[in-house]
Amino acid sequence: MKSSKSVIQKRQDKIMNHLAQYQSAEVVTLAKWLKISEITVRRDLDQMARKGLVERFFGGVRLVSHEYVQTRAEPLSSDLDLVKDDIVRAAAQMIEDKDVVFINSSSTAMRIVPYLKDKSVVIVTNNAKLIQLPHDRTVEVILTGGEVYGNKQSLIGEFALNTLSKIKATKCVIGVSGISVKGGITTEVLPETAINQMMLKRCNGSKIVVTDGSKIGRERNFLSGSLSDITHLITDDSADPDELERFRAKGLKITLVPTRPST
Amino acid sequence: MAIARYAASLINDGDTILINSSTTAIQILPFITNKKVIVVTNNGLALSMDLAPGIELIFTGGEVRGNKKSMVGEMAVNNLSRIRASKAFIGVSGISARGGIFTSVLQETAINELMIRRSSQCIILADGSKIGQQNNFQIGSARDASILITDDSADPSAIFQLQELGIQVHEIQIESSDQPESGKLKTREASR
Repeated sequence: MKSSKSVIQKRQDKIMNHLAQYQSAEVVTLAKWLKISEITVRRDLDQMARKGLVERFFGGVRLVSHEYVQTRAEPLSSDLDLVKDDIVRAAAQMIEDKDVVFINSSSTAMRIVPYLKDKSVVIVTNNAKLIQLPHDRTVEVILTGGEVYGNKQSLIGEFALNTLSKIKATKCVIGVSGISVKGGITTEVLPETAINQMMLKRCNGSKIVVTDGSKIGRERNFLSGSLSDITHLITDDSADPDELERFRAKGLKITLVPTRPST
Repeated sequence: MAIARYAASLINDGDTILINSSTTAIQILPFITNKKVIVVTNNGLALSMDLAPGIELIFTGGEVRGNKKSMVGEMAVNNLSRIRASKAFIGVSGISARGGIFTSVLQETAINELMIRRSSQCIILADGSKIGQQNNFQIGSARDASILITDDSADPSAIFQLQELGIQVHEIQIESSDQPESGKLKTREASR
């Protein structure tokens, strides 16, 4: 059966997004993940290789260059990316002139930068990737410094904590891997928990968690803080309504953006 | 590139090195292979480079400036002042025996000065056109440099004056740059 063009395109975008994160992948793994045959995966990869996007090697595929991620970010946006953009746009509306804003190493949280146009703000972040995003002249970016951690390029350790310990922020925008009444705010990278905790501790104003609905009610490996450490949660309609109700009962202010139809 | 490649050959296993925000100096990174090295830099360009697994990359942090994505200011200085490095690799805009060492961005001056102070050995990277020049902002005196890596287009009398101060000068032959390996070997032998 022949798939329509858009289905193929979406699948290839998925593969590209995967590669953007992991640089390379095996045909077998991709086939299992996408629930398609290895032959179809190979056909996709060959097509992508002809476009010069990827490089084939025996049994797998790798990204041609890391630049791809930055230059082609637009056409790759998936539905989830659009939802995340809506979430951070809502967060950006809470940011005012003269704010000093902590942003953690979450890929969702850093999406807020382009939406801070015309606002005179200082961003303090441990997300090294953030400095590659275009931003308005009125926005000043300060990196915490620290050890550059893995592909995620988050900054961790003593230097990062040292910098944060000298700054008081008026807003804090953080992404999480999980947030639940039972488990609090959790993340997958242990050394980042100290940074997240410090950011929450050193912020006087609104402490905003931005995350898509799939993370609501979920508990991940490492604790970054408890619900009482934050003031706002911005997520989308797909979040578990019962859990949201329990958040509200705890005094958390919640903003919901619509979930886009996914295909 | 040839200058950066040669600079990388001076790095030993176990070194902690500082690299400043110069575009030439940061080119050293891809040439560091099979060594365990801690690299501390205020150069954001390091993010888009391929690093060998033995390299641990640390950012100074600080205010992010310009296309170069250099980190400057109080936070950068503060973190840097907690480090003692074996070598600093400083790309410069000018060096002369009399005038000293210069870089071109005012905000980066304090960081460059500090990098020189916090390392046992200061290695200056400058192509030939910068030798004998005094451009913009001074970050140290010529005597602060232990080693200068440049190319053979540099003014010989300016080089001679620097050598008089006790600076080891390595001139990379530009002509042989299409045969990088032999060029590298020549300069290495010359230095011994």
